[in-house]
Amino acid sequence: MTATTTRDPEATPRLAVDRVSMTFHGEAGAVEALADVSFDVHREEIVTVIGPSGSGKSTLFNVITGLIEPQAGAIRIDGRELADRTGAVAYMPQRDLLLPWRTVLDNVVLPLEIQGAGGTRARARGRAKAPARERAREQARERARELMPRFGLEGFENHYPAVLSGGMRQRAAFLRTVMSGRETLLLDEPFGALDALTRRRLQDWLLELQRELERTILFITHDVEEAVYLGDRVVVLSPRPGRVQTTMPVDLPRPRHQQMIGDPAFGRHVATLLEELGVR
Amino acid sequence: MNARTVVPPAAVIVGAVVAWHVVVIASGLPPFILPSPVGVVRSGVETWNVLGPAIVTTLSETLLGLAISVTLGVAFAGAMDLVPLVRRALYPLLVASQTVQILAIAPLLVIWFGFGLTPNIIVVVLFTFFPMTVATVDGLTSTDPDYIRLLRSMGASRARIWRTVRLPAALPSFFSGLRLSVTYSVVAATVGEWVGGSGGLGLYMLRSKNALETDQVFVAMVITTLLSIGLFLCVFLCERLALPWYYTAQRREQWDEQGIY
Ligand SMILES: Nc1ncnc2c1ncn2[C@@H]1O[C@H](COP(=O)(O)OP(=O)(O)O)[C@@H](O)[C@H]1O
Ligand SMILES: [Mg+2]
Repeated sequence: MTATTTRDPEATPRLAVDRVSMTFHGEAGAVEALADVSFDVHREEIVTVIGPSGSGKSTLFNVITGLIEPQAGAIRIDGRELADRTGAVAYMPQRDLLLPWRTVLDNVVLPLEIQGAGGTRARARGRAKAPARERAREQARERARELMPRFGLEGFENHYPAVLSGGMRQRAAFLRTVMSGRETLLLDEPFGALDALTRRRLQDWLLELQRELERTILFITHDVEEAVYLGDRVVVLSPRPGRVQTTMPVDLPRPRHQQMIGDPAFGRHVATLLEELGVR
Repeated sequence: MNARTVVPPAAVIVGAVVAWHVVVIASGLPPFILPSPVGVVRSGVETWNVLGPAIVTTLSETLLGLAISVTLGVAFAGAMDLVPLVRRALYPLLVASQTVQILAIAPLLVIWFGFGLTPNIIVVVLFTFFPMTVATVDGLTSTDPDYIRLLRSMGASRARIWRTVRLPAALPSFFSGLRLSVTYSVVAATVGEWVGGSGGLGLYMLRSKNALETDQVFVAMVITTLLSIGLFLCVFLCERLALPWYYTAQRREQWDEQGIY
């Protein structure tokens, strides 16, 4: 997966963020969260987004998923600007948000359940017939069961999320995101709340998984090393209001492994990012 | 429920009954002032042909009243949750309705609805409707908005979000309201019966008091308490069965975090 070198620059980007501006009007006055943000994400690329807290990273995701409409600008998915984007990309929020009353298995099939019956997208296509829906439901559960071991959740299918550790919950939330079947995955600081060791393990696990899944990933982090380690490119957002301060390609070979963190090349990337973020 | 939660209160009850008996014997008080536990049981058995139907009446009123309260409470809570205007209009009135003297209304209900089950069922509803509605509304409004945003990002419709997130999230609160309601409900029914003099355990109690049959008053008290506890346990059991996840989560909080990921 060397997207940076083999990519056709003319190809339609999987995801295009085009001159997006977003201002919140709250009781405390107007808060300008995003100002004229543009960047593309291409097929099977991992783009990491880094910026100080409050720079509008989560807001950017809310705009892309269609939870909020920006004042200006457009989001294009595979070149198309949709009237209702919700459900078009898969979104993994900062908190795992596993429903406590659903077992792990029932949680991870949730996106498919929604797509199959009663989703806004499904309704646009016309509802599936009940038996077909039932069959699709069983298939989804079967597929989820197959993926459980790969996500380190084998044997926990029928457990409630409350008994899972932090890392397991994060993986379950990620499996739910993958199960949506969407090509583009938006991951908002998925490893932010985990201890350093668990986080490194999950980073490697994510990269390994990505080689099989071949999805397109936009990954928010506040960790400079993580941004370099995972990304093909790093988008740096400025402090509020968030603008794209710079986009840095990561010239490190894949597959990546943790020893690379000691390489001078890795250090140079980190130093450049720190410089951009105003840390010396 | 296990030995640790059952044995201590049971021991206290047994101890209290024994102490009661000892006090009655030692003090030589006449039974119409303080009957002994044995005397209470005996008079319960002796008046069983009146008592049995009275229990059936009171229990029917209680259960019907509860059913109405739960239905109305959930319907009102749903309406208040879906339509903010309804919520703003009704919530203050609901709170105000709790301050109305039910003891004053109960005789009026008899005038309006006659002797029979109806006025007493209404008294049960008046007592239990408020906790049911408020608890359910609180449960519905306490849903973490992040869950709703997650489901919207998946393209879920409003109805879908209601079914998948709002309702399950409101259930623990709904059951708290139900537990509170069943605790009030039996007493509420007997209050209605007492004030209206219209049958059931309330009337049994009223007649016993007027006849200075103190032991029978105690019989009614004990039976009212047992009915209340019985209903409470039924709700508790339903709750355990309906919300296994809720108790898993509570147990989890008592565990130490494991060092595994
Ligand atoms: N719904 C909202 N209403 C008002 N202000 C908001 C809202 N969401 C985010 N903001 C503000 O926008 C700014 C960017 O927030 P956010 O996107 O969460 O930043 P980040 O994820 O980079 O830490 C913050 O100042 C935040 O307070
Ligand atoms: Mg954020």
